[in-house]
Amino acid sequence: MKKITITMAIAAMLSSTVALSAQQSSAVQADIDAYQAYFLDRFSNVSLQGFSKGPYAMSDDKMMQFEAVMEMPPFEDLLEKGGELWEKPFANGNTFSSCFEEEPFLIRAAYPRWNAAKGKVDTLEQALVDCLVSNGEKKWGTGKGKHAWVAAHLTTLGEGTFINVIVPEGDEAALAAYNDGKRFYYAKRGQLNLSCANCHVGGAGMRARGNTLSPGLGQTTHFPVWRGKWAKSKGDGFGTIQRRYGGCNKQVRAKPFKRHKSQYDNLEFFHTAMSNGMEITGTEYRE
Amino acid sequence: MKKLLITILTVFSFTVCAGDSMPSTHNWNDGSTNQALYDIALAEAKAEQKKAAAVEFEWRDIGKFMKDAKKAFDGGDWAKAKKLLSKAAEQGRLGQQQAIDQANAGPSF
Amino acid sequence: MKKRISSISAVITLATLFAMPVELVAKEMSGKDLTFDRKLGNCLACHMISGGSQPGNIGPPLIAMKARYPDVADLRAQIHDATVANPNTMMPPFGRHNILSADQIDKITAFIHTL
Repeated sequence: MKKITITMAIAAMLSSTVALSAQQSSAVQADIDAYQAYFLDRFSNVSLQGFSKGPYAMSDDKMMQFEAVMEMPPFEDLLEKGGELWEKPFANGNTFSSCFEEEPFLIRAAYPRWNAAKGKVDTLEQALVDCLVSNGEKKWGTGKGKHAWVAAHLTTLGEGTFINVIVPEGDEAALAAYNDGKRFYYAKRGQLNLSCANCHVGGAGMRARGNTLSPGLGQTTHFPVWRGKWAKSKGDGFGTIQRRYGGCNKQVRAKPFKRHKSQYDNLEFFHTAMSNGMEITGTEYRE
Repeated sequence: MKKLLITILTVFSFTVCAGDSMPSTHNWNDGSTNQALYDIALAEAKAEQKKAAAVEFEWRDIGKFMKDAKKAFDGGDWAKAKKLLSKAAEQGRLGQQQAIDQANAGPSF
Repeated sequence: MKKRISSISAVITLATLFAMPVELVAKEMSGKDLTFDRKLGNCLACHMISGGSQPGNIGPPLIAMKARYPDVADLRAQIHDATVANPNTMMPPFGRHNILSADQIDKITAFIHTL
């Protein structure tokens, strides 16, 4: 029922803004269609929405393990803290929501998005940091901890909304940022000479030792994630998508880039656009 | 080329002046020569690292190799330091080559 | 006096303990060891290899290698730089990117060719 209400709300919102919102670049739409068709053809037993479960969509055994963990998510407490931080007034009395035009449940799917005035991609995680700064608060460390909890809270509120990244037709600068992210995604890097696409397009569903490589399609529906691996090493398990990018780069022995600079922002722009039409599933567990 | 010459000259004049104090920190017979060679090798590694970073294809361990090289050199192991620095420089060059090779990377479907 | 002797012997024991394994490991890693080592060949990450547990399946199983590579030099070339045969391969260019030394590649090639 909740889902239907949300869907209707979105439909209403979309139809009301359709005249204002820009049209998707036809080049980008062609990329999205080709990318999604590749996965849907290759894994014919997985639906478009099914890809958001990543490696768990590829194996019944793994799916059972995932569902068992999600019965009693190990991250509930931190997610709740994220919600509290979202509501907690700053010293000036404002809260985070004062920095966003959207209703909280629509915020996750509103990002990443092209900021024509600034000529750059805006990400939700950067917007949270900017919000602290503009309200005279101290910056938080990014990628994990409080920063990731609040972002995870918004992802969970956004459950049932749809990814819809727009690269406005005719906007050269937006297309350049998108193409920059696309090139990053397909370029082999690091000593191991592996691109994002090598593992998560061509290698999707295959195993590196015991680990199933997740499909690139749907990876942005559930971040920040709570990872068992992160919980065991540093921090509390939560990490944003850009934290994950850094980890991937390190694994192929490339020097990771700083979070929330053009490299990962543009990559997030491209990467998220590839999952257009997919539902935000809320923050999730991953190995 | 000019830069290299200046570096060599600077390093040389430095080591000549500092020659007396060298043996106390580095106990090799030809400590000053090694210091000069180390500085040149480090400068080269740093230059290659910078070029690789500029094209956004720096590899993960270059910085670590340079740190380890400094440790080895301070510990008197010039041979090991030299090996690490040349490894760092080589990885810088390979990263730059990778940037060229991957300039037109795109989907294959 | 007794204390001194024991501390000297402790130092010697410790020194041998630390010095020996490094020497042994460096000198005695066989082709098979190098193939299975996670930081070196790590071939099991992608290939099924007889005698190795939990292999990946990104690359083909390493079987009947003599039939697939009658000339061992071709196998060595593939390990050195697999992108020559297929520019988009996932296999890292172990030689070209100095992931392994020439000697290590020789040993791994020899071992894999027996599979």
